[in-house]
Amino acid sequence: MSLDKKITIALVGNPNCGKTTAFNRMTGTHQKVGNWTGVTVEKKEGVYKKNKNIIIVDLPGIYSLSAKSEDEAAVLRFFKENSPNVIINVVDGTNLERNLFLTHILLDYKIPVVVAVNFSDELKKRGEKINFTLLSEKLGVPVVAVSALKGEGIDNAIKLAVKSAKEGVLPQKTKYSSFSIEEKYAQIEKIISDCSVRTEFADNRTEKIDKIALHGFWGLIVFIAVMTAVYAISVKFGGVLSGFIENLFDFCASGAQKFLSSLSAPLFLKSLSSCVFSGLKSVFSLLPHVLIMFFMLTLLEQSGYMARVAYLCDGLLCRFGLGGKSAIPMILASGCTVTGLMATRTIENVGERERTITALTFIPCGAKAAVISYFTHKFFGGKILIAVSLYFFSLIVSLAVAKFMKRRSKNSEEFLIELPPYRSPSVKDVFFVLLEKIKEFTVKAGTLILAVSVILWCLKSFNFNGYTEEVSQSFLYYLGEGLKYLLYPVGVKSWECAVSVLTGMLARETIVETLEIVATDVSVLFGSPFEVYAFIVFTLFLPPCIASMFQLKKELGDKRRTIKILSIEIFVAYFCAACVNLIGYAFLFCKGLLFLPIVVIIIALCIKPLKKLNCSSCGKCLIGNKCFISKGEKMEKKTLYDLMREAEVKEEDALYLEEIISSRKPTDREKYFEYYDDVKTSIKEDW
Amino acid sequence: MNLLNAPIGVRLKITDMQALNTNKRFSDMGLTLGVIVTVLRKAPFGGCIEIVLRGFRLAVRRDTAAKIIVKKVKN
Repeated sequence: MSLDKKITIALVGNPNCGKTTAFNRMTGTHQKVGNWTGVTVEKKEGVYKKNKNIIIVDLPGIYSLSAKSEDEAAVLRFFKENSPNVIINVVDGTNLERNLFLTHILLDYKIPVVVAVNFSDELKKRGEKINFTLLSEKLGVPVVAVSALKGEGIDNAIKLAVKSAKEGVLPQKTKYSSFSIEEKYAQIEKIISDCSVRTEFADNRTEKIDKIALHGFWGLIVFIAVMTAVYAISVKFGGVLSGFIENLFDFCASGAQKFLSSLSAPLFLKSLSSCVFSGLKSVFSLLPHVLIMFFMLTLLEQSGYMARVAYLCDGLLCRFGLGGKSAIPMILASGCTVTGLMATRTIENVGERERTITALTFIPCGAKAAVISYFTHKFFGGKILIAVSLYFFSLIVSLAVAKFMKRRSKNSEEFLIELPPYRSPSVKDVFFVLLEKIKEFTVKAGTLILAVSVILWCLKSFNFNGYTEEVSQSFLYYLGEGLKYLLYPVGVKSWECAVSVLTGMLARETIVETLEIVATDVSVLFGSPFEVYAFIVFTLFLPPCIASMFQLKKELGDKRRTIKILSIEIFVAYFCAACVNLIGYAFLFCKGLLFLPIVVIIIALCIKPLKKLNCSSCGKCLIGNKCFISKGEKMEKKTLYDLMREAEVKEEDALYLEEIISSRKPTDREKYFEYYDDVKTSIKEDW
Repeated sequence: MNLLNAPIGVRLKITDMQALNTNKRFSDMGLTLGVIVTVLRKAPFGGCIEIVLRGFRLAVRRDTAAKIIVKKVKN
């Protein structure tokens, strides 16, 4: 093939249609992964293995092109701005009906299309036959059978695509564009019944597995077993590997020290090098955990089990303003917050994703667990109850925060996910994911972490007179002294603790390290066990580490929301710790007599704001708890909220309406309906 | 009858989805008026319900399912 100019091929298809496998087959290792500007949708670009002039772009999996989701908007924008020469529409041959719907939509864009029917090997096994020539005739575009997993037909698809790009054959049947969705589907049904011989087939394997995996009781057991296995393997192997990496860095650090002293370098250089190495160590020791976790999660994702987890957990998490897809990130976050944050990408709903991200930063990660165990051993004699109570505390707080955030946004979210058939995952694809993660980590460690460790080192080893060996005479000491007063309510009474909070921002486990280094006797730093508990709670709820903060920024994509979430975390940490401390004081002061009533009052104060606006019965309208639409009725009768949406009431107007509603507060059912009709007409008239 | 209180394993036809806020997204996924669906099972703790339509499986939240009106189809 000789080409004068470059050809851009866009890969488009439904989620789970094997598009990424096809992409990996086409490009090999010549690929670049980045984000689309402004959104968190992943952008993958590569060059065809056999011809450098063919650029292939793997677009996100979509069902339609109505710009409803970030993914769809990204694809649309790509069509508009980059105008690809040709589209290869990857279609799941085992699920033609829905996949061809997207094809019909793609035919409306003035871009040549080639349809690649994937899983041709699976079709053969099922005894299903598709008449590709007839299908191609009916659709008006070339159709080719491929098996991305085995690599069959891939080159053929590209050859056809290049041919249509050169000839510029546009799809003929633009008459579909005027069709409604129903008509399009009817058309597709007709095409399929003409073109394929469908033996009466039921997906037995998937149904058999699902009978257990989605069972009300056994499904949960399987879920717990799978998650425990993933977790145990990553902790076990990851622990061994990260121990190895830590040793490696320690070895390098001591080597550097020796090298520097052999050159009789100044003292500060030595201290700088040890600081840089410990910074790098803290990041790279996370790498094995992240890699192993991602390896197994990608396997689960590709096998189709992940969607089942979402299905199983949705009911429970829904009550806290989260969704089924929040389950995996939350579980992962207990290993490492960064992994958890990365895993939130699968959540499409922006609000739900933000809530999940906020909630999971409160879950104690591995490093925080180390802090918990240090303090419980040092101050509570290693009582397991204290550690467990801290875990529960953070779980409750994380769910409460999610619930609280949900309360503020009144949108009801409709949820549906596809449960794809189980398929054996491709090891090659998993390998690509891991390669990507290693790249990402190395870049991060090389830039941000390095910069932050140098800054911290400067603070630690300089004062107004220049370099100093003693931490108690450095800038860090002054900072700690100042911060001490600010942190007084959360149980901090010494500059050592304040400084440890500061250095703990780099990585949570540094708290322990710092306290051991700067304090002469750790056990005298706190006045009472409550202060210790408050201090642990405070450090537990603060953002876990610098790496996670940067990841947060990356996942959210904009500064404002990052700052919002970080400030929520700091506020919650401060508030909870202050509460614990206050309760402690009350307990000690009153010798336990007045203790109970005070606790009750504080708890009541905390719970009250959680129970306001949202109606308990229909969950949407603004009447609060006074809504009388019962569960059965709400389906027939539209809620006020729906009406407002339909009438496109502006936000300030909605607030005004809300005020009227709350001032009138109907007290019984009949009045409510009277009043309901009233508001309904007024909404229709005024807006 | 809506999708939520429909019996499991029975062929159903969707007759109304007006109550859905994101109607378009659902029909893009193949949940169109008149399509035949079957409820496969319901998740624990008030979770999703699993349906099968056009040869693939979908999980739908209960309150969403309650807004989809269906009717039994005679075999």
